[in-house]
Amino acid sequence: MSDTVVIRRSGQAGPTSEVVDISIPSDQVFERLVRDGAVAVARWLGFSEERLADMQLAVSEAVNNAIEHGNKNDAHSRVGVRFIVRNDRLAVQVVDQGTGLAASQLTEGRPSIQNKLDNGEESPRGLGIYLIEQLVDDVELQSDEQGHSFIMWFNLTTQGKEGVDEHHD
Amino acid sequence: MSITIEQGPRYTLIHILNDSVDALSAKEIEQVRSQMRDVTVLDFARVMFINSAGISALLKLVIEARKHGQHLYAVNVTAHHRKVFEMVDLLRYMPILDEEEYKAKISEAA
Repeated sequence: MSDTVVIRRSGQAGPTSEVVDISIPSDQVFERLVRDGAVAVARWLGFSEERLADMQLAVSEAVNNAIEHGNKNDAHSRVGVRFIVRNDRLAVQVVDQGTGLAASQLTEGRPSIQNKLDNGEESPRGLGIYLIEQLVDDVELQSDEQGHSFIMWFNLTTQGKEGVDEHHD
Repeated sequence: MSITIEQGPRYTLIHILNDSVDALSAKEIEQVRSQMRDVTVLDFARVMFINSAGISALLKLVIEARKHGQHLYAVNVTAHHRKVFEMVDLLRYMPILDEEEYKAKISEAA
């Protein structure tokens, strides 16, 4: 049962109530599946390619964070992802089953690559969270004994925070 | 195999064939460390997605290059990935080359 991937769509068609739920085991293999789901939702909402890429990356980082730091890579623990369209905003809620406070993960500023180079740190801490903060319009983190809930908000009227068109150099 | 490698006397050209540079492909990318030369160029033409796990793998190549006084460059980077690299300050350590700059670097190192 723990390897089951569940995708549900509910709510009435329309811009104020559509909900898509994806539930995956805590395994990096399934993170790609959520990423594909994010692309499908972004295309359905008419996101620009740049905005779509921003959302895909932010969702990927949040899901990886839930798998690694929330559920501690325990494949028996699940990660739930919910896409909710509410008025002119998209909320992507990523829920894990981990314990412990996680609020300190937010707003640490840009992780230092130089520290990694100078001190041999294995990985700059908070790189994924930093990227999320740069790519989404708003972010919210809640923790309780059930786990962590990470909500990313995307304004549907915004077409990419940097306004960059997709192309290869 | 999701990576192919071309080498000259002083250069290594690494084509990443996987469309995702993420946790699943990171190990294979890290393994090219031993094949880097004076000039190493990573070709991202086939890459559609990069996340922080992939960036961490690229940082290991940056560290290896600096350790040996080598130079690491990127080519065929999408505008989105350029933006992400800028966000995390990676371009200071792995500059992106355009077509002409790339040809010149390889020619110098051939």
